[in-house]
Amino acid sequence: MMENVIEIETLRKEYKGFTLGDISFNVPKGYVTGLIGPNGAGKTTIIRLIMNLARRKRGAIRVFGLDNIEHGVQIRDRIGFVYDTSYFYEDQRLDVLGRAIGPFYSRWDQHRFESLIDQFQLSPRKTLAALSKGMKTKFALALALSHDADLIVMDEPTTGLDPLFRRELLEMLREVIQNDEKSILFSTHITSDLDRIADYAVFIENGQLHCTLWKDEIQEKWGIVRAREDFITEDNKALFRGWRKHGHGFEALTVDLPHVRQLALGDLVFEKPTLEDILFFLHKDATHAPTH
Amino acid sequence: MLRLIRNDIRSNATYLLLVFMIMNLALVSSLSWYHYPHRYHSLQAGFGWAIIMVLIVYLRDAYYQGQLLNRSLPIPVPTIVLARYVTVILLTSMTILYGWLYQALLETFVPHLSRSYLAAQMESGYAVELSVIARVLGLCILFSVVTPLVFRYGTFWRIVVGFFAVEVVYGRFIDQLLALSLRATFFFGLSRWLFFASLIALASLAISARISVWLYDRRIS
Repeated sequence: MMENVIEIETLRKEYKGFTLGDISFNVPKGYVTGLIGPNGAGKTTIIRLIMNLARRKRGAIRVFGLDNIEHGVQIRDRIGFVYDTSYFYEDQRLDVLGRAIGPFYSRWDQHRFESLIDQFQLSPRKTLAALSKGMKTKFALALALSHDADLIVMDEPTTGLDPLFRRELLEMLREVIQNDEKSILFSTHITSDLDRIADYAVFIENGQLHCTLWKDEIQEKWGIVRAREDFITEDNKALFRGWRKHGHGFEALTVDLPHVRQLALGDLVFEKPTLEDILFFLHKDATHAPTH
Repeated sequence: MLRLIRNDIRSNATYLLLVFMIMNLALVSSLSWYHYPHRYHSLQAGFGWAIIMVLIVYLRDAYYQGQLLNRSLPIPVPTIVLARYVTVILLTSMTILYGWLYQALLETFVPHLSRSYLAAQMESGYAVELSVIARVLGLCILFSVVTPLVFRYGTFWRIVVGFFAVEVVYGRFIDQLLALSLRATFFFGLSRWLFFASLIALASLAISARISVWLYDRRIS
């Protein structure tokens, strides 16, 4: 049976004007899990609830099998975090920040921190204020990776980064999960990043869980279908999600590609969907608005 | 906890030092400007500057959302809160102590610069002991009320605006406390009033710390 690092059950959080509603999903151990959704979908809220930075209204969050409120300290000792904005005193030098923050972790490795700072080509004697957004993310990542964390939680870490560094960051994350003991939860609205590294994706929209998907499953069962409009009938309509008309035909996402292939009479066009395609079609499906 | 206190002081060291230098400038200038500076003028100034020292810590923490970092680290909330209380008490005591020592140092090392009256008063009409008790009690009650609010609702601008409100309240409040301190001394005697005042100060800080833990734990980030 697959082991989970995070188990979320009927989680609910209410803010003025936004409700994260009764969502349940798991983050499997040893994989990169992408938390995907448009801006304002509730990704940051979920991460803050996991980190116990906000109080849930109801539901349960278990991290490493432990309740995240009751065993908060134990859990956070095993989590490395990278948030979307810098939360350090920016007028402090990197080496000073490392010495100030690191020793709170029971498995802090100062040598590893120093070697990561070196590997990321950061100058330890520079203040954080002197660094670019990408370099600040590198610093946060160096902190997150220097205490042998079992889970890395990242909230929109690639937002505002240049493409080159984004690729570099994704490569680093790939290396982190090499031994199958580490897991990563990565929230982003830049789905192309997750296309590269995510094994499992959790789609969130308007505070609701859309679906959870394994990448392998997407490869096998999901597809974008283009066909003549008369291909859609009342009988097979359920096979398509977020369909839209265009020109003389239609375009839709199918979650049962083998079945649709069987139905095909030769004039269907199939395409492998990216996570962005899936997000788009599921969004269309949720809003029930076929586009022309 | 010691690491948190050290981080609190170290990360704000530049600004604390800056305030300390301005405090010294203010003390030096007041010595030459005041025609009749009383002996405890610098002690009185120490009480005033202590609030600014604490303000620096609160403001910078709010500006950089220190709570986001602290609460993401494996540190229990009571430890974070307690460390902040100790930092506040430490900074306040040191500033007051420095104010108190300032005049003494001046009189010891450069007596010709000291033109102070040797009246043992901070405020006219009150013995210095009564003033110190009243002011310490005032600061303890003030921090006991303010700190939980900062932990729960503290943002940069709220703290800036709150600071002016606090200064006004402290200014008004201290007169009442002085009168109370005087009456209490007549009624209980100085040593008993000192004991009760210490008890009130400690109790208010302890209750405040407990409330802070509860509020900080429920803070929405």
